[in-house]
Amino acid sequence: MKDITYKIVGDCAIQIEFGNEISLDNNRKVKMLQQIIEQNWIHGVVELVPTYRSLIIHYYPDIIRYQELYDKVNNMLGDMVMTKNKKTEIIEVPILYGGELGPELSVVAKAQGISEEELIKIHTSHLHYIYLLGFSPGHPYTVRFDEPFKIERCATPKLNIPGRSIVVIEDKTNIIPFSQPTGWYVIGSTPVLQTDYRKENPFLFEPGLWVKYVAINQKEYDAIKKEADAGTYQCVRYTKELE
Amino acid sequence: MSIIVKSPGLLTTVQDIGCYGFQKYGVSTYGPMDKKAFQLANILVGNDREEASFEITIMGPTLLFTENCVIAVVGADLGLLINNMQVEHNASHMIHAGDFVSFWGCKSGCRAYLSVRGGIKIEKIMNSASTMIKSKVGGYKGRPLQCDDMLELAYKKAMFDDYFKRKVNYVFTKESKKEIRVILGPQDDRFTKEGMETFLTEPYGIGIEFDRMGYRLEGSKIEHIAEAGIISDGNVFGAIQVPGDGKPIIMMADCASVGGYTKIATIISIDIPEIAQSKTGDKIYFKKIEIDEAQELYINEQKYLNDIEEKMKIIGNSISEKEYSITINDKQYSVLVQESVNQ
Repeated sequence: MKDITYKIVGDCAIQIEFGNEISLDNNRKVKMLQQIIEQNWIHGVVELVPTYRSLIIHYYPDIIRYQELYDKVNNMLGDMVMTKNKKTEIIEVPILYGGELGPELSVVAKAQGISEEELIKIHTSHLHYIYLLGFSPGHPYTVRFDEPFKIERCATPKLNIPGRSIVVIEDKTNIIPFSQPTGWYVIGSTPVLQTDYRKENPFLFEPGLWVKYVAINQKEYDAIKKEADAGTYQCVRYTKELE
Repeated sequence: MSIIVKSPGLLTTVQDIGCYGFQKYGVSTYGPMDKKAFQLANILVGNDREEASFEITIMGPTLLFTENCVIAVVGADLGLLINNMQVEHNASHMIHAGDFVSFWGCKSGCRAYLSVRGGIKIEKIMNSASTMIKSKVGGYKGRPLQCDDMLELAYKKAMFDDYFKRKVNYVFTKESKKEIRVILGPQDDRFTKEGMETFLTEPYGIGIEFDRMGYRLEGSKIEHIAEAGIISDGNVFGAIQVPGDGKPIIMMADCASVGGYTKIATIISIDIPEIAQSKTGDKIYFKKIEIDEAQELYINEQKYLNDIEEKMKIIGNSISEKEYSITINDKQYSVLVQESVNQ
């Protein structure tokens, strides 16, 4: 495999980088190496953190030294073959677009030169890919690969955007778990809880998952929110062959 | 209850060794800023080294204990008092029901760890008892301690009779010039030769912003070859990030798991406590070492901690404790009998 860089990150971590750009291809290599290590856990490794095009491996140097870990990972990479398997995990995220909870839907539609309905159609008809989770616990960065919005981050961030908000710029969509500032545009709200500390694994999303946004109405929103707040709502999740 | 908070101090939080395995979901590792002092405090009271303890910052709290127990305070010298009497820090102490533990003021360092034999009873979130301040979860009610908080001991552990001679030698650099060892990278190739020389020779002062997330440093600007942005990648505790203004920021225990700025170097694990014990005005110099040497030092430190833990196991006899209620002339008395048991 070409274009692989090993980087020393202090005495307890090593970073493996694939290529030099953000791309689905590079990220798939990150995910594949992560899966290989997860299936053949190396004694002394603490945890793996995947980002756009790199994987950090945290380890205990009193159990495994740098060179030994490097050799093991290098062997794994040598055997790694990118499979043609395009099976993907998809999760459906219901969204109530516009209205009080999505006040900037019209702003984004106007920038695009289309109606709000047409904008919702773009947003719901393409799958979005989760490159990574960060910024706050459970906060995904999702990207679609078609029809980007013609709107960039605004210069002055808005304060205290509520949790559950769906915010967009260009080809990117984020779902905000907790109140935070953002320079992105709020086009809707999801009734589901993406971070629920009552659960053993509190997080709805994980890197590498595809998201399908689904438009719902106020009545559906209220019903799902009630279930989500009670901790009983389950998002629709399935596997699909992607072309 | 066993511990009542009479005043919380500047910033007192519950921390265990940290939260691991959830960084891929965007969760920081949290845990003690000074892992060495934290572990030594637990070792002194015979706890598991990872047990939940209090991290105390600069100005300590006042705690009322309502149960007999053994405590230890290790780290910064914050002027430990028991019932207003000065007592040694970096040592363990017997506490009787009704005793007050307080701190009269910071003499040196920044953070001290107070461990209670048996640990503090905390409901774990993501397998950790650490306080995740920004997310408002974990630790005690997801926040620093406040007045009138009441905490319980996790479990009653037998006392030991040598609490008065249990001490550790915990040292950090007290001069205002500290040498901090680093391993270059992961983005050291994004700086000019001059920029790297600046970083490795100039002094850097701890600025006014230093907290559990990061320490902003003041000093000469570190020159980038081009821009300071990178494709966002993972952050580690001890990473030294240099954004566009050329002023380094050290990522600490609560730092975000992912970041988008160049990182010139990473502080070696055993020198991170030196940063955790620094505050505004302290000066540091960075010194480059190689990974092999850093990992030798790491292994030696683990061995040192293991050795102390072993030694502490041997010296103490446990004390059996029995409480009797006696009535004499219609007056009820509570009598506590402690007996040293030879193992």
